[in-house]
Amino acid sequence: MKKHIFIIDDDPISIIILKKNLELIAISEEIVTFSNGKDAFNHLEKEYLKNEQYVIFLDINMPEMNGWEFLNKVEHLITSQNTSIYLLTSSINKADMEKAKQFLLIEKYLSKPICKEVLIEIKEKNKL
Amino acid sequence: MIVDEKKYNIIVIEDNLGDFFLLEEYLSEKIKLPTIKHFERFNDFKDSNESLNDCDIIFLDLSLPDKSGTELVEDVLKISNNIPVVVLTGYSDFSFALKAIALGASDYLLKDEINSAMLYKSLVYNIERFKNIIKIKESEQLYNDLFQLSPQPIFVIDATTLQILDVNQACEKLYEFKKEELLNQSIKTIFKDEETIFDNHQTIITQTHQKKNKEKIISEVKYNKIIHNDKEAIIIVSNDITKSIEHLNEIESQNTKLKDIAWIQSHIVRAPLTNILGLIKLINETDSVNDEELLNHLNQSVKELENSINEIVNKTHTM
Repeated sequence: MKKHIFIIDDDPISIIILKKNLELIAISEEIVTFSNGKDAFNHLEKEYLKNEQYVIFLDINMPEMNGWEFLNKVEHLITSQNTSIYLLTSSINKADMEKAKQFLLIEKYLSKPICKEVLIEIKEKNKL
Repeated sequence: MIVDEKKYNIIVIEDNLGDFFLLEEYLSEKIKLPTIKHFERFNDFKDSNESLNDCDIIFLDLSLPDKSGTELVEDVLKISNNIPVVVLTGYSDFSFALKAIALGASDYLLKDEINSAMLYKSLVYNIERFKNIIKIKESEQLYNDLFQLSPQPIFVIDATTLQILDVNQACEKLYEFKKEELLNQSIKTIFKDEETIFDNHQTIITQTHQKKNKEKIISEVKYNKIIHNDKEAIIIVSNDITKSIEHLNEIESQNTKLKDIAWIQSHIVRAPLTNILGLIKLINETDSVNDEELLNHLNQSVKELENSINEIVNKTHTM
């Protein structure tokens, strides 16, 4: 089964940090990045396949389409059967954490900075 | 013969001495020890410093040398506030005797018909009846005070025409209208909401009201149906909640600001900070202190952090 890793984040430095960390734990899958929810949604709308697996790191605060809006739109398109979304945000705001609970698609709420141990867990869980 | 042993304080205002002695005799026949004060003229009665508090009843001749007729009855009634006044008259003044009753006298006696039994009956009857009248007056006053002096503004309006029938002092104070300016006006002079329906289903409603100076207030209104002068009416109690609403709005707007600040801290300030932490971790773990790319990112993130802090400080200044 083909596996996709997406990073949806408008902050280039944040993307670099995540990518380097993924390299460190020897993830070999190709990583595709999007700078906002809209680009990622458009891509998924065209390319999403039910028999392939998706691991998505999603930021909340982004221009064009933020993380929440992306989740609302993508809910009708993808299922958690083959997709794990990790909300990766600088926010430690309770309101954001509560809101995240409303989305079944979200596998886990992660506060930046991301640490290697958490990524290893994700790697094992998704058999990357 | 039964003689009443109770103490009676009786005032007789009568200029005809013959009539007075007769009256005195009749009274003494039925009452053991009547205390009778006699005045021949109205002014004597008026100027006497006698306290009227102990007095039980006044017998008043309708024609005195210094005053008579309507004027006399009115003036005596004014002085003898809470004492029954029984007027004495001859046949010739019979029609006026009825007028005296209309003016507020308790009873009339035709002099030519007076005997001890009749006089005694009139005395006892009028004293007792007057006690009840006073009780009714007091209870009327109490209800009137409950309405007039209630600290809560109250309207009484006609149920069909919505015309204002009565308002209390608190109402005049809150809306800054005088009572006369409001009577017979529609309640819509004050209640400015499009639909002002008073049905049975909803008894508390929040409305916009307008004061005389056009200032708008928010009021919580409670009402009930009553009968007022035989007509269906509605009694409305108004509770000015403008201030509490304003306080609530102020608190809500401050809450919104606080939530905004929490959001800014989490997303704008923490974003470069988490990058810094992430980069330092990477540098440590990969032992790449000399990695120029990472160091540049670190530098950039520190600058971003400084900028966003400055921005927040500026924003809080404008709050």
